[in-house]
Amino acid sequence: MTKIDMRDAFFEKLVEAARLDERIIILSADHSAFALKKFEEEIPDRYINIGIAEQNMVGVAAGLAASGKIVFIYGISPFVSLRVLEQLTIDVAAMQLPVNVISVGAGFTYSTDGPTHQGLQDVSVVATIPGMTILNSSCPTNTRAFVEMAISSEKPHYIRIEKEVLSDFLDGFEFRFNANAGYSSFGDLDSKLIIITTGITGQIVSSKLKKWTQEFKTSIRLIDVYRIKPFPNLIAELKGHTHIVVVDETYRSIVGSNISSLLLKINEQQRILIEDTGEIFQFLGSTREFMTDFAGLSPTRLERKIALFLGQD
Amino acid sequence: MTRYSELNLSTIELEEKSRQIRIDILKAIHKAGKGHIGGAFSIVEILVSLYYGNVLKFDSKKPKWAFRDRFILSKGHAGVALYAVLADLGYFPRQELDYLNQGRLLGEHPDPRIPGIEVVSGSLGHGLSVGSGMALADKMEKNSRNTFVLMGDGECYEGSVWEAAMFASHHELHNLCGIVDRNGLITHGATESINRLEPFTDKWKAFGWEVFEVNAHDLNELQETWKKITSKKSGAPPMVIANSVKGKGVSFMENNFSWHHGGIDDIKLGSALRELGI
Repeated sequence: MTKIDMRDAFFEKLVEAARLDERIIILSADHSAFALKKFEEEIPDRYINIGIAEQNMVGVAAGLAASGKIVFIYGISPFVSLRVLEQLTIDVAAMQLPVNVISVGAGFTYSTDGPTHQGLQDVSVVATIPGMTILNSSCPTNTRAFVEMAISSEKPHYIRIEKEVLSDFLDGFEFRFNANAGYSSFGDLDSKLIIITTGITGQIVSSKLKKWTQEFKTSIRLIDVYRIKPFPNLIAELKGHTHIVVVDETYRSIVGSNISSLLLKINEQQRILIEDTGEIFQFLGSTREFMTDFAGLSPTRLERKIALFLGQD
Repeated sequence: MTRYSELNLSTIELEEKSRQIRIDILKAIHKAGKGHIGGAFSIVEILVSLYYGNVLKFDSKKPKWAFRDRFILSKGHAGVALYAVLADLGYFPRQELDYLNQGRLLGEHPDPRIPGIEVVSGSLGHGLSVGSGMALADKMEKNSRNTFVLMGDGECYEGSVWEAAMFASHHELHNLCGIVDRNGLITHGATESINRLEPFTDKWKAFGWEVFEVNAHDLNELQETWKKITSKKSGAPPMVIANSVKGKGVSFMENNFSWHHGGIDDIKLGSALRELGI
């Protein structure tokens, strides 16, 4: 199965779109990527490195968008979310302008750089902004699709793209992408256990799905949520599964909160386990695998916790 | 269609218009119960000269007219002053001023639901960046129109203002005109005693702007300045440091920071209106 850096998957598609649509402009807060270089070289008039000034970047993007442009702004997760929360709220969302944040560095992506650079808070924060769609990349197909989704809607988007080299989940699972659904689903519809992921955790869990099916002696349904806001209608998907696990590489999972709310509506006797990183400032620098394991989200740690969760009956 | 930009009022007419606008502001705030009087009064001549002095290109019956100049009131708390102008120009019915902050069209801070308002403002330090984006788009499209951004001097404490200042100067946005209402007072006192802004003109010059210092209440001086600015075809963005008096026009409000925000009772309203010739 073909693997690709998610930044390349996104920006290659964006270059294709920009060739045809002169409204598209990219602003960067002094951050680049291989395929973004291609945009810069091919369409220099519509690429501006704005310097390390993210608040101004969002404001300028809003001004361009108010003048008929479709703007993509690029930077590292905390700097294009926490730092610019007010600009995104007032200048972009309140006026529903077509400004699309490309946020790189989800979760522990910048694993050696500490909490200043890690994307553990961005989704929670951005989710508070009315009218801001949040998309979370987990595979090349959805990452590429985000470009067209953002351009065609002409509304604000916060698009989290992974920096990892990934493929479209695992062989053996039928993968059908539906741009309107907000999630992708795999595995047995009638399973006792359903695992809900978002972003990189979809890859972590799908890589263990076959093993866990044997270990836990139960079939498993996997839902990968790529549109966190507006949150997809998962009521039909959740019904009938007795054990629900949410895995999310953030401090406090917005996906988990949304799933919990849906379960209250369903009102069945369902158990839920939400696995996020918890509220930790982890200053140790190491690999993403190390950080994920420390936060309890590595495959090994998850396997133990889910086994325990299933054994609670 | 009211295209006042084609009318070019005389200085005497502009002065009379300023007096009327101040009366409208006072009455609106009196009916609303409270409002930002001081900072609204300090920008009246700036607004009047821009809108009635053949400076801004606009069409009050077509607020989204594609070739209009853009005006951003970045110091959004003075929205009532802009509302009074827009109502007078026919962007919306004058009676809306009587319902300021009463669940109808006009809230304390501007938003684009209101005809003639380009952007949401209220939180300070946003307008210059947004205006830079607008001016950049016009430069890219080779449009000849201008974008004006009016800020407060206290607003210039915000770091984002200086991010935008660097950007606009680097990109030589000659079609972006910054204006600072330099009334010297913020909510709780003088800028120079709270957190010094001076040397303010030098700061803008150092950031690469072409600075024009003017008396914010001298309509002749303002008109001369706008002429110089709108004739610019390239180079540094212009910045107008408009030295103003907070509360200008009513003696007991002038240079008194306690009139930054609040209500006005019937007795004080009567005194203020008498000073304004009613």
